[in-house]
Amino acid sequence: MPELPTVAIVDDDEAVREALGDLLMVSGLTCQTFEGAASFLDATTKRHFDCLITDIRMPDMSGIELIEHLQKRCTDLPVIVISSVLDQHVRSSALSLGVHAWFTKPVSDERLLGAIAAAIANGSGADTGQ
Amino acid sequence: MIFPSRVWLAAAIVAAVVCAIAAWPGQPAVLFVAGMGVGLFAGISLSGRIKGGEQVHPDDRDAIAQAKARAFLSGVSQIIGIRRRERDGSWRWHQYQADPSYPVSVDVAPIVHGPGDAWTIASSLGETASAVNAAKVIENLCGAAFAFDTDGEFTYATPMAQTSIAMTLDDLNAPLGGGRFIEGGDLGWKTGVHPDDYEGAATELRRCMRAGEPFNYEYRVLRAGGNYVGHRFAIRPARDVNGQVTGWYGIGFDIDVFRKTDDALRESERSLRELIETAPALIWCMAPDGEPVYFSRRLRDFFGFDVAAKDLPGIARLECILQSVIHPDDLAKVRDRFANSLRTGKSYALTHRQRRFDGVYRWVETRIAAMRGEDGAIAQWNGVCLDIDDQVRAQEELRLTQENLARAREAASLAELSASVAHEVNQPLAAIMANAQACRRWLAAEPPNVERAQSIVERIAGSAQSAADIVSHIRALFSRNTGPRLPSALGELIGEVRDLLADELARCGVALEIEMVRGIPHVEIDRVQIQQVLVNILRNAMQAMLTVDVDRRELRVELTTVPGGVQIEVADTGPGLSSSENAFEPFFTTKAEGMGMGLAISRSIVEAHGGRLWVEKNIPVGARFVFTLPASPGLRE
Repeated sequence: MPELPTVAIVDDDEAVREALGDLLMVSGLTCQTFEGAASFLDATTKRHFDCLITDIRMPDMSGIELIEHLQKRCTDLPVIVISSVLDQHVRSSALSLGVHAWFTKPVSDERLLGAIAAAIANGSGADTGQ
Repeated sequence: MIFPSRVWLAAAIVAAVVCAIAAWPGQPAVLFVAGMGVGLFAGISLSGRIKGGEQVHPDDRDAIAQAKARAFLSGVSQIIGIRRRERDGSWRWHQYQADPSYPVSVDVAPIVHGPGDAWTIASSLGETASAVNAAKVIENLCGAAFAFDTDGEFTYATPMAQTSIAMTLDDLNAPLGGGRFIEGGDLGWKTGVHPDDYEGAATELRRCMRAGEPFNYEYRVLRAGGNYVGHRFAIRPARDVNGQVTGWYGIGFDIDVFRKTDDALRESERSLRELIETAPALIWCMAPDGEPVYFSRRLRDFFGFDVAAKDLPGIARLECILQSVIHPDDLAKVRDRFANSLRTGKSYALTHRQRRFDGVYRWVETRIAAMRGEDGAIAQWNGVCLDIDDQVRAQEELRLTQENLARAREAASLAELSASVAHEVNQPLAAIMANAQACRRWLAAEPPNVERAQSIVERIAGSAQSAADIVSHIRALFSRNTGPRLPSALGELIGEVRDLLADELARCGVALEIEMVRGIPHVEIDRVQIQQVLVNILRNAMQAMLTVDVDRRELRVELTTVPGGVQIEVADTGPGLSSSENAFEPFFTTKAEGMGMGLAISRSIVEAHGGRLWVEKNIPVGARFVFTLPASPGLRE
């Protein structure tokens, strides 16, 4: 029996983390939440994730920095951004870094779950939030 | 005594180069040098040292009186020779200098009358007795005079007159051909007149003599020293009881000093005028009542007209000029200042626009000041105008640029601020949305997980509350003009803030210490806003200190007076700020929670109160936020 896909959620806001976690759980996904990029990166050394959902504006290390960091490690972990950042430059730089999907908060469950499913199925049906 | 005068003169000059050492009672020996060869005495004159006259030869007393009179009238010092009695009773020649009793502003060489210069009297006065009498009266007053008969032959000339031109009566009358003077002949005195002036003078004198009219004429006379000096001659007829002319008498005034003074004045005025005309400023003068009387050349060039060009009947000239040159928007202001100065006598300086000849209005700075006479009354008003158009325009451009920059900066920080707001508000909204969707799914499941759904609904309510809190927080921070500004005691306000934050302080394990001196003046503030600022800074400090050990968390608020107001310092023992100015940028935050706008808004609140807010390093550790507020007058704690 194949393992259920595991999704990592990185957001500095506890309420958002818990809500997203619950949403994924009820949808049949396993997930683990992190309050910052550092603790997530730490965890990646111990276990495998199938997808990353991250916020952009966070203290210490921003979502963009996290994505750049992952790129340097040459991981093929698909990344979905859920952010309230409206800046088009930030968005396009994230997309140029190979981000799978970009959602502006708040996000509808169907689109989010669809994007996660597509990301795990390896890249098809990318949703750039346009 | 008939001497060929020039030869005699030369001999007299040589003979008169006298060096004498004169010692007189009570005085040290005086070195006395006569340098007549060059028409000057070097050394000490005897001016003012003649006492009582008993030391002076009786025959020379008149000469002293005449010298004094001539010096007074002409303004030229007179040097004569007089005889003084020596201790041994003998008479000895000395020089005596009579000076004018007033200062002469131009440099004039003294007139030298050599000691013992030759002079003659006529053997007979003929019909000219009354003319000679008149001449003697004039001599008494003026020191020199002469008389001649109806043919033009001199019968009298004062010794002073003769010696100053080195001509005796015989020299003056020496026939030079052509018969009698009145009939066109020339006499010896012709040689004592400047060749260019003689014909005119002689012709006029003959005409006056024939017509019996007064002679008033100026010509240059050759002085004994060899130089020509301008004289003004006045000659009048003397008449017998029948009105018949019996002779002529007159006087020649030395007008050299007046001419030179006049020239010097003219030159001085010319150079002053030139200075004013060419000074790099627009200069004008007004009469005491404000009527413009003079424009400098530069001002005439600027306006394109002269002072009287805009005169209109029935309207004061000042008003006519102001109306035609002052920018309509500045006219009332300029008129006011003029009127005020004319009324009070005070000077003024004003910047306004003024119309140039080409119709272009230029910015100028005008200053006027009253020039007062010795009695303190205003003699005239002087004004100066500087064209400062280029500076004004440059300043205006600079101001516009700065304004644009500020606007751009404002727009940028507004964009940043709105991004922050969007982020803060979207955060709970995102949670609510995700929770609601999860909740729906739990309820839709078979069987529905009601317990789970209930706990999610709790969380939704929590997130909704925090969204509402954020909105009200933002509104509170932005409401700049909500509360009235009232004089408040800051000590009291700090106490309120401490009470407000008591729970948080306890939770963070921070000890708050408040220090204040007596007599802190009250400040006029919006209490809610300043409270907000304090809460903001204290919260920042508390959160910053979470990273250090609990027993090292110290927070100190200090209230002191500074010149013009009060100062509040909030010092923490946290890690401090790496960049103190960044802290005030709207999106700057070092915190996991919070909006990063608190300090930017706090600063604008403090600045709106007329104070300043900044951050310093605290010694030995931490950050110290300081802000000032201006004191409201009078009240103290």
